Amino acid sequence: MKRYIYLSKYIFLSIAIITAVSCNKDRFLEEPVFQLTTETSYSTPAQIDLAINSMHNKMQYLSFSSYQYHNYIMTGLGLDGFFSTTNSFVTSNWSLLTPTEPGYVSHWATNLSQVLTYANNVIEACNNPAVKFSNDVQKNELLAEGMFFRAWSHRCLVGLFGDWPIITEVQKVPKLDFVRAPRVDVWKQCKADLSFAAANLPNTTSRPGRIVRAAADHLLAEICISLGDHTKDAKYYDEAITAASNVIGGKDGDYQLMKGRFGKRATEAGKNVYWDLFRAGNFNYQEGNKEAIWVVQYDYANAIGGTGGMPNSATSNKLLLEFAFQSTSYFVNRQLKDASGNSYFFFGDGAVKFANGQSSQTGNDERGVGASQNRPTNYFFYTIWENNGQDIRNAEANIERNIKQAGGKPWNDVFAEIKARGDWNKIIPSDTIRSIYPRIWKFSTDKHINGNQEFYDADIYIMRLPETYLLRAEAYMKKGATDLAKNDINEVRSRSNARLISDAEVTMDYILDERTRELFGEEYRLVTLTRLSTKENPVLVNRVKKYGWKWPDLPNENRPNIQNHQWVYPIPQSIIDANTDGEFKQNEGY
Amino acid sequence: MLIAILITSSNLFAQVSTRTVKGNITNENAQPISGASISIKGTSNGTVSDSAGFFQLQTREKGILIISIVGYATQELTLTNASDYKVILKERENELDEVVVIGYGTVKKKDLTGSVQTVNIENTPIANLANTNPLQSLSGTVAGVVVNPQSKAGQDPLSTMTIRGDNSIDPSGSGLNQPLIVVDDIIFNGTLNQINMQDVASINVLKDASSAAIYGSRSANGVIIITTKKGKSGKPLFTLNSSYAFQNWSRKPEMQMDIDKLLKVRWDYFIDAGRIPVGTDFNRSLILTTQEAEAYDKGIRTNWLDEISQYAPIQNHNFSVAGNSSNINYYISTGLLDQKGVIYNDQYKKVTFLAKIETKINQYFTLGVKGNYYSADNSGLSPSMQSATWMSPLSSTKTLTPGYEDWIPSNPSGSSARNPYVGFDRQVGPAYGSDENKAQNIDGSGWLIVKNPWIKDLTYKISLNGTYSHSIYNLDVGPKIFADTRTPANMDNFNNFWGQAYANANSTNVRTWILDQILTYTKTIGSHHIDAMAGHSRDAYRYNTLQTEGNGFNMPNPLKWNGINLATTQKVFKGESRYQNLANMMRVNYNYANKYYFTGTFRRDGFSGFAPGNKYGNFPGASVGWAISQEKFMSNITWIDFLKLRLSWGQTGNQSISPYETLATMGLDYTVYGSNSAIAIYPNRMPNEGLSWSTTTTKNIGLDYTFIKGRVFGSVDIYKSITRDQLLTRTIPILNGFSTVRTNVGRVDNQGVEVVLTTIPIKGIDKKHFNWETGIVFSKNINKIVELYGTVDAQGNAKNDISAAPTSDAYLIGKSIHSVWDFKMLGIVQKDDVEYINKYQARPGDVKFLDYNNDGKLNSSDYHYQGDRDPLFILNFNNTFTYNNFSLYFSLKWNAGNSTHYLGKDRYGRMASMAIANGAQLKNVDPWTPENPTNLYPRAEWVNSQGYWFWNTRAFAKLKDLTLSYTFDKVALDKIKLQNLRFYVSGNNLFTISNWTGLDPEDGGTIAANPGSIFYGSYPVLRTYSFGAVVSF
Repeated sequence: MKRYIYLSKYIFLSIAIITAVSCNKDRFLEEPVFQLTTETSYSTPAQIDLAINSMHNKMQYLSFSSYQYHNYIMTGLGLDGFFSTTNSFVTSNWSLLTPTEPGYVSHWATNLSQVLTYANNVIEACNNPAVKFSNDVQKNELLAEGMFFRAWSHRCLVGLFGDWPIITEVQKVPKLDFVRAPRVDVWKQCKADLSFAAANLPNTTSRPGRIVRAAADHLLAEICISLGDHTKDAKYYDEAITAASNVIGGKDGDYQLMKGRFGKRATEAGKNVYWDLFRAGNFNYQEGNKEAIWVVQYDYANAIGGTGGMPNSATSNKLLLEFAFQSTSYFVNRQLKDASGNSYFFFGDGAVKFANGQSSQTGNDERGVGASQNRPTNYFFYTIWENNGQDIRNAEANIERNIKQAGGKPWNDVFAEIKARGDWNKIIPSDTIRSIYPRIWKFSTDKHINGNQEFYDADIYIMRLPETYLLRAEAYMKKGATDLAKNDINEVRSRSNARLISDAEVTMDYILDERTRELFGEEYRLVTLTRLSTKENPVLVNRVKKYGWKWPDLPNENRPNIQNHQWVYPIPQSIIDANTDGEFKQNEGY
Repeated sequence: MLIAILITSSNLFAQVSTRTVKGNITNENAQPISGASISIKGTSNGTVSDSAGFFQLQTREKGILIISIVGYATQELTLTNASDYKVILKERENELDEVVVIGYGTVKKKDLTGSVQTVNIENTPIANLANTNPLQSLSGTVAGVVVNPQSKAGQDPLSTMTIRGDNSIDPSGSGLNQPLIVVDDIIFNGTLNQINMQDVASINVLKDASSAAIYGSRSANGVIIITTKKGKSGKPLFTLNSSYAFQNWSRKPEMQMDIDKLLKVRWDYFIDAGRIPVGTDFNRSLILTTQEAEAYDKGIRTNWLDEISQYAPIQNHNFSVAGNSSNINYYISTGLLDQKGVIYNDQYKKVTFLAKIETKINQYFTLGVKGNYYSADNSGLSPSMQSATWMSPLSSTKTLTPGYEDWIPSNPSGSSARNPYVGFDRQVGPAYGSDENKAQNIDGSGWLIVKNPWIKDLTYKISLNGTYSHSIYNLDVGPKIFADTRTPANMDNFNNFWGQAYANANSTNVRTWILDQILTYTKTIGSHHIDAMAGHSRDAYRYNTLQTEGNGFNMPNPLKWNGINLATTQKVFKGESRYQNLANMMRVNYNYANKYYFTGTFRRDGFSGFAPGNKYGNFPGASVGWAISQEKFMSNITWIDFLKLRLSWGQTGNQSISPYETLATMGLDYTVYGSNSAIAIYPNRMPNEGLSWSTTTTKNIGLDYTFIKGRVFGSVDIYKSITRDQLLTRTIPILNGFSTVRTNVGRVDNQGVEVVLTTIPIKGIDKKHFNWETGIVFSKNINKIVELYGTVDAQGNAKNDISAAPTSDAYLIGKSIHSVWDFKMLGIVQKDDVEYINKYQARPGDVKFLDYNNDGKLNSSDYHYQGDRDPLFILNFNNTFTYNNFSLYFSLKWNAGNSTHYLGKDRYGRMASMAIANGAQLKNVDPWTPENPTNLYPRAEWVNSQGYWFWNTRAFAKLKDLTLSYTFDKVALDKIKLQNLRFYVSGNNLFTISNWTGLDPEDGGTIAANPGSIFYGSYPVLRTYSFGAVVSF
C-alpha cells in the first residue's frame, strides 16, 4: 500500500509541475493547412505568373461564355450597332434596366471586380519582400501585368457605371464601406498604373494572349483622352498622342496594319485582307498578324474535353457573336416548305457537312434556342456604308447580303421561289427581322475545322492597331490638329480601299462611325460611348436615340425608350445593400 | 435497486424443522435501522428490528426474508444455511434521488440548479421500442427536443435535431444547430450509429447554458450525455435480447390506378391546352404515348410505388455479460442490427462491440478501459420515389420490345420520365448502377482515478480517448443507364455508351484523440457542502479523404470501381484537414443545508480554426437554487413534498465552422496561350481574420416540484436565449472580390416554456396491483431573428435579406428563421370570379393568389410573409400501465400548427400535374374542372409559372410509440435458473392524423417534386411493428 501512496503523491506533484511549466498552448492551436492559400501560393515568381494566368482565364470567360448574352453588353448590345431581337431585353426596352434587374448589370461588375482583386493580389505578391526575384526586370514585368489588369478593370467599371471606388489593395477582412470616387480620379489611377506597365512590360511575348507594352500604351492613350475630355486639360491629349505613337511608331514593337492577303487562307479567291484578319489561326501577332495587340485566346482542343482546358463554363457555349447574330437558318413559321417538303434553311455554305445535310446551326433547333438573338441595326448594315467607296469591309466576303441556303442557293432566288409559289404571306414579319439578314463573316466561319458545328476555333481581338490609329486621330482632333487626325483615319480607311476623307469631315461622330466600320463587335462600344458622355451631353443616349432599333412593339414615343440618365448603368442594388457601413450612391435617375 | 448482502458467518445448523435466524440491519452509512419489519414470505411469521438494528426470528429451514421499512427499498433475501445475516438497506430512490450526469461529474436531481432532463432507458418501456438510434428515445420524453423520425435504414437524426429551437441561421443545413454529444464523459465525434441502443443506460440532456457551459465552445445547442450500462450484480449476468420488426410506410400516397379517371383528366387537359381541337370525340390514342397505348392494350397496369417498395424487416440481436465483483466492474456486449428500409435496396447492417472494465486497485487507484468497435454496411442504390410517382400506370416494368425482354425500360411510360430503377445522372438507380457504402470505427479509452493521500476528498482523473474511423463509398454506373430503350438500336449497341460510363472510389478516415485531466474535491463541513472541479482538456481531429474518379471507358469495364485505371479520364482528389481544441475549466457546486444552492462554471476554450488573436473564448455560467420546501415555514404544507426554484444564466459558444474558413484559399483553373494550356491559380475565398465564435446567452427560470407523496412531480422551465455573432455567410460588396464571406453578424433569440408533469393517478401497492403513471411533456419555442445586416428597405420595412429565393427561409427581422416568403393562395379561380379573371388575365381553374401590393399584377413583389415552419407547440402524452407482469406504454405526439405556423411545402401533394405521362400520377389529386369546382387543386394544365409551393400546415397528432411487455415472475424463473425473462411487442409511428397531403408530416416529406429538381430527397418515414424477448441468466 505504501508504494501506492508514493505513486499517488508523485502523480499529484507532477500535475502541479506540468501545470506550472505548461506547454505552449498557442503552438498546439496552430492550424496545419492542407490547402493552397494566398500565403503559400504567391511565394515565387513562377507562382505569381500562375496568378496572372487567372486574369487571362477570366478574360476568356468574359469573352467566350455567353452568360445570357450579358457578355455582348460591353460590345454594344442595345446601342447603335446591334440589338436584341426581343423587347424584353433590358437594353432593348430600357425601362427594364433597373438596379434590381437580376443579372445583366451585375455580371460585369462581379467579374471585373474579381479581375481587380486578382490584379491586386499579383501586385501585393510582387511587392512582398519574401518573394525572391532573379532580377528587377522579372519583378517589374510581373508587376506591370498586374497593374495593366488593375487599370483595365477600373477602366471598364468606370465605363459601365461612372464613378467607382479606387481599389488598390487586397481586402483581408470584409470591407463594407466603399465610397465611389469621381471617374477622373479613377482614370488618374489607371494612368499611373498604365505608365508603369508601359515602361516595364516586354515588347513581345512567346505566349499569345499575354500582355505586351503596346497594349499598355494603347489603353493609356484612351485613358489620357478621357482625362483630357473631362479635365479640359489639353496636356493629356499630348500624352495620349505620345502613348499611341509609341505603338504606331515602332517604339513598342513592329506593329503595322495588314495591307495584303495573309495567313492560313490567304490564297482563297474572292476574299480580302479584312476577311483574313478573322480566320482561325490568323489572330495572333505570333502568327504573323502585325496589327494584333491583345487577343483573348480560344483553343478548341483545350476547350472541349481537354483536361487542362479553357475556364469553366467558357466552353459550353457558342463562340463569339456567331451564336448571337446568325439566324436559326429556317423560318420560324415551320409550315413554309420547299418543293420537296423540307423547311427552308439558310446560311448553309456547303463547306460543312452534317449528318442531316443541313446548315451549321441545326443544333439550336433541337435545343429550342432561337439563335438570332441579336441583330445588327440598319445603322450598321446601311448608314455607315453610304458614300464610302469600295470598302472591302462591306464587300460580300465580309457582309454577305445575298445569303445562301445549304447547297449554295442564294436567298434572292429562294425569295423569288417562295413568292412564285404564293407562300409569301406565310413569312411573318418577325422572320425577316429575326432570321433573314446579312451574314457577318468576321464572326462566322464556313469551316468548323473540328467538325463540331457549335464551335469554331477563333480568338477574339480586344485591341487591334486600327483602334490605336483612331485613338490618336481623336486626340489630334481634340487638340486641334485636324489634318493629322484625318491622316490617321485615312490610314485605316486606305487599307480597306475606302474613300479617303477630307479635313472637314473629321468629327467625333465620324470617328465613332469609323470605329463601327472597323471595330464593330470588337471594341467595348459601351465604354467608348460612356467615356465620351456626361450628364449634360449623354453621347451614348443620343446615339441610341438616333441609330438604335426602333421597336415596333413599343409605343411610338418610346422607340427607343432610353432615358437621358441611362448613359451609365445602374449600380447593382446588391452592391448598395451589401455595403452596409457606408453609402454607395446610386447613379442619378435610377 | 441494488442490495449488498454480506454473509458474515457460515455456521451450519443441523436443525431439521426450525432454526433461529438473526441479523443486523443498517443503512449504507453503517448506521443501524430500527423498526424495520422482517417477515418470511408467504407466512405471517415476522418481527421488528431493535434500536441497534438487530433482529431474531424462528423459521423453517428454507424461505425468503422480506425486510421493509418506510423510506427504504424493500429487500428480499433467500435464506441459506447461514444463521447470521447482515442486511444493508438502500434508501428508497424517488425521482429526486436520481443521479444526473452533468458533464465531468454527477449530482443528485434534487441538487440540480440548471435545466437538465434525464431519460432512463435501461429497464424501461422505451428500451423495448424498435429504435435503432438512441436519439430517437428523446423525441417523446424530453421537452424542447425535436428529433426527426427515421425514414431510411440506419439513418442518424443527429444533424437535423435541435434543442430549444435553432440558435443559428444555417441556410445550407450544415448542422450548425446540432447539439454536442458526450458518451461516458467523453466528447463524441462519430455517428450515433456507433452506439448500440441496447448498451445505453440513460441519456441526460443539458438544456440551459449554465449546465452546458462546462462544454464551452461546442455547447451552444445543448449537450446530450449518453451513459452506457455497467455491471451490477456480483455474479456475471448474461443477457440476450432479440427482436424482430417489420416496417412499412407511415403514410403512403396512393397512385392513380383508376385508368378511366386518368384518361379523362388527361383528355380534359389536352382539350384545354389546345392540343386537341374542342369537340373532338374521345380517342385515347391521341393522348397516350406509344408505350402507354401498348400497355393499355396488353392490360398492363403498374403501381410504381409498389414496385419500388420492399418488405422491410429489422433484426436486432444483442448479447451482453455484466458484473460487479471483487472491485471489478465489467460490461461486455455485442450487437447485430440488420435493417431494411421500405424502398427497394435500402438496407443497413451493423455489428457493434463494447467492452468496459473498471477495476479498483485499492483505495487510491482506480483504472478503467473501454473499447468500442463498429462496422456498418449501408450499400445499395435505391430507386427514386419521385420518379416512381411521376410514372404513368400505363407502363411496363419490362421492356415490351420483342427480343429485349431482359432490358429494364429507361422510360417506361414513353415520356421523358425515367424509370426509377434506371435513374438518371443525378440519381442513379439500382438497375444498371451499384455502390458500396461501408464504415468501420474503433474507439478506445483508458482512465486512471487517483485519490490524494494528503488532501482527503481530492481526486485526480486522467482519461485518454482515441478513435479511428474509416469509410468507403464506391459507385459504378454502367453503360446501359445511358441507353434510351425506346430506340432498340441503343440496346443493340449499348457498348457504345461505355464512353459515358463512370466509376468513383472514395475513402475517408477520421482520427481523433482527447486527453482530459480532472481534479475534483468534495467536502462537507457542517451544513456547508462543496463539490468543486477543475480540469484541462485538449483534443485533436484529423480528416483524410482520397477520392478517385474514372470517366468514360474505351472498353467494357467489368471491374466497376476497381477498374478506374481503365477509364479514359481519371481524376484524383486528396483532402486533409485538422483542428485542435484546448480547454481549461472549473465548476463549483455549493449548497447550504440542502436549501440554498449555487453553481459557478467557467470554461476557457481555444480553437485552432480561428485566426491568431481570436483563438480563445471564455464561457461562464452561474446558477442558484432555493429548495423552498426545506424551509421551516413550508413544513406544515404536507402535500408539498419538494419544491425548488432555479435561476440560471450562462454563455455558450458555437464553433461549427470548418477549419481554414478564416483563410484565403485558392482555386485552380486553366487558361490557354495559343494552343498551350496553363494552370491558373486564384483566390476563391475571402479571408476573414476576424471570424470568431457565435455566443449564446441563456437565462432560465425553473421550478421542480413533487406533490402528494410523490404522486405528482415534474418541472417547469422558462427560458430565453440570445445568440449573437451568428456564423453567417453574409453578402458583401463584390468590390471585395467576393460576394459572400463567413462572418459573425446578426442575432437570433429563442424563448419558450417547457412543462414536464408526471402523475400517478393509480398507485399499485406492489406490482400485483394496477399502476398507472401518466405524463405530459410540453414545449413551446418562439424563434426570432432580431438583427441581421442591411435589413430594412427604403420604407424602413424588414425585408427578405439573405436568400433571394422567395420560398426558402426568408430571414425577416422579428420573425422566425423559418419564415415563409411566398404568395398567398386564396383558392382556385372559379367561373364566377369575373373580376379576378379580368384583372389578372386568369382562367377558371388557375390558382388564385393575393395581389399583396394591389398593383394589378401578380409578380415577385407580391411575395410576403406567410407564417413560419415552426410548430405552435409540441405536446407528448405518455402513459405506462403495469399490472402483474404486464406493462403497457404508449406515447402520443401532437405537433400543433395552423394556417400560419408549422407550414410545409406541399407542392406536389396539391398540384395537378398528372395530366400527361410526365407528372405526379396521384390518386388524391383531383384537378379542377368545370364539373369539379374544387378549391384545392388547380386545373390540370395550369402552369405554376410563379413557382408557388402550396404551403400547408404539417400539424399532426400521432400515436408515436407503443410497447407491451410481459415479465415472468422471479419465483417461476428461479426454477429454470433464469434471472429475467421478458417478451414484448412494440410499434413506432403507428397512427397519424393530419391534413398534410405529403408524406409523414413529422419530417415534412414531400411526395414528388420534378425528378430532376433538388427536392427529390424525401424517403417515407418508417412505421415499425416489433416483437422481441429479453432473457438474462
